[in-house]
Amino acid sequence: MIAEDTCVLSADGGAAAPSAAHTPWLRLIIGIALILFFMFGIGSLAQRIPGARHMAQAIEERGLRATAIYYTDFEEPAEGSERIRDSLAYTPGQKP
Amino acid sequence: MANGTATIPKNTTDYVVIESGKTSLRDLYTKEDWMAVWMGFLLLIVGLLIFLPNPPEKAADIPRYNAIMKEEAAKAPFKTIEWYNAASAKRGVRATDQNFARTIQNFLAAPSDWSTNPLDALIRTEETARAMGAPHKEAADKAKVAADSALASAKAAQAAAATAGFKDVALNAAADKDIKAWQEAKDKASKAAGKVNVKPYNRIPYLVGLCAMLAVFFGLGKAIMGASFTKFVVGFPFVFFLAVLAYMGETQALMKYWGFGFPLWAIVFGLLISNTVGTPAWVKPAVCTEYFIKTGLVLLGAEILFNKILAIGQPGIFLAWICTPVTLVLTYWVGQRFIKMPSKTLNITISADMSVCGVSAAIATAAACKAKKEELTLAIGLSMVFTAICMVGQPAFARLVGMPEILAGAWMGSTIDSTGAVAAAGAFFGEKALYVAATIKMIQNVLIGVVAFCVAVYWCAKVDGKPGDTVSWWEIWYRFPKFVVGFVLASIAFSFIDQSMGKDMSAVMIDHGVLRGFTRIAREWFFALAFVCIGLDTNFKEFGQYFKGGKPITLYVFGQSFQLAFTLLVAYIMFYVVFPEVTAAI
Repeated sequence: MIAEDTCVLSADGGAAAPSAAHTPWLRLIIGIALILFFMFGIGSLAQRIPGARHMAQAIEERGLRATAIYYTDFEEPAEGSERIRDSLAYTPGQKP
Repeated sequence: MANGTATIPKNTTDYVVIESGKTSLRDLYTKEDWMAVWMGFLLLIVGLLIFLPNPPEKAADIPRYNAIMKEEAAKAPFKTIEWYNAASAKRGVRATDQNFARTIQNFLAAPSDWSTNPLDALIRTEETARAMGAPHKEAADKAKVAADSALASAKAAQAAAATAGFKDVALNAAADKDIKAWQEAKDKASKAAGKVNVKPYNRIPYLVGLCAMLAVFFGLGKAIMGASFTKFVVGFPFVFFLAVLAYMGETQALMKYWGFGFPLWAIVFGLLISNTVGTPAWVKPAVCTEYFIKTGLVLLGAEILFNKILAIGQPGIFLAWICTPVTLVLTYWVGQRFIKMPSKTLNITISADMSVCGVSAAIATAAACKAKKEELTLAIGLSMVFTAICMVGQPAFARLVGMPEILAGAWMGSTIDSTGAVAAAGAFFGEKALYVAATIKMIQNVLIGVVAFCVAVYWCAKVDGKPGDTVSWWEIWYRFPKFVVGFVLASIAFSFIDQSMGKDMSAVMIDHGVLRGFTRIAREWFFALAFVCIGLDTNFKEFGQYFKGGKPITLYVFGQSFQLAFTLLVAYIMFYVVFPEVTAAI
């Protein structure tokens, strides 16, 4: 079991030199900068991929949650299945 | 844990789920597996008690809407205006639209969308809301005028067809065309109106309240299991804060288009902390991956409603429940036999997330087979990258080859990993494709209950034992991840309630009530917390061994390529050869 007092990693401990003590924080700042670069730099550039802009437009127009991990996380599966269910249950041309 | 954790070998902390191999009555309140089951059940019962006694008043009108659709379907050979209005009114009846349900949703809501200023995800003033809505006013007005005009044309065309007693084929076709055009215009007007009506919010007080509530909820569970309540509560806000940041990563304007959801960001932010400044010691008591993930999985079990598999008739069952298991088993077999994957648990986790439904399948399978955290992380990373590629590539390919809309929807729904990305790809192609794709994915989503259960049994009976050994049922039970029992029971109980209420009332009270209005939102938070913990508990360097020879990528590419070809063939046969009447009715 992963218990409350177990963890793989620990913070750098011991009596470190001032420069070494700053290294973890420097790494953290670089990491944050990389994440921001990915979000705003690569993310914007990726919009130039053919089809990507159109896809973004489709997502925006419909307010879709493209990141949903299960069908209950957004409306379209429910709406779609209800539309299909009604179409199959009350198909035009059926006798009452 | 209360005893013995100090002596647990370091490498055991790498696993998503570990079982001790013994079981006793004490386990019912000292083991995280069982505690997750009780906590999940508690939330599900609370959800049922909140929603079931309070059906919306409009629910009484549902039989009338059905009667109208039945009457109209008998009257004309196309869906009339009245047919569509009745269907739309029926879909508008939701338990989640009631005031008490909105309050619950506000309290549990995750950060909202933002583009350049992260604070926009947490606070939107009335002034900002007005400013955001104003530019869309003109477009919304135009869309409304267009919808009104389309309705007038549809009414005229339908009246002409009715005058001919719905016997004139040309007039019927013209009415059908105009009514469909009105539906499209109405849909656009509705979306445009939604953009004008931007609501202000301040999520910070709710998030603080939610953090406190979750800290107490999970802290009490920890205390019952013998751990320190205080230490957990002290560390929890840090984990929760990273989970909030993970949601903000998802809701950033550019990232949400690529399907990079909160699981990825939660792991990234956790990894960033643990691999730079290190996870602070005071946070570690709240780093409880298993505890959060298992409770979330019990809640997910309630969302696995078996009646959903009939949503699109037999073609949907064949597509989602035949193609998917075949792909899963074949990919796993190829992974073991030919690709020689470094680990069976990595193999099955990737195979499941690739063939079933991405992240949610990866979580359930990894927990069921006791995969390592790095393996789950790797499977999720691969899934998200390939999802982003398929989400753009598949609809583009389908358009290029002139694939029919329903075939494209069925193909994309069954082959793109992530559920949300499936809808985006469908929307990119067209409305019918969107609804077929989303429905097929929903049917496939239900499969994860069966997959998780089968994987758990197979692992306990075959993989965990020595080759050639006969494993007794008791031994299987000892090894069995007990939270899967809660996961399966929740699914059976909610499927039974769903069935007994009838499809229409269940859609109102269960799907758009207990689940979407309460337990689903809680489940997402629990997964976000779990992924933050995975990041906080993982060393970046440990990923290297799993990437040796690029085997995970080879496995993924093989499985996905097979699935793309096989599913396209089966979708064509099912929707256009064996059941063309279903395709025609959709």
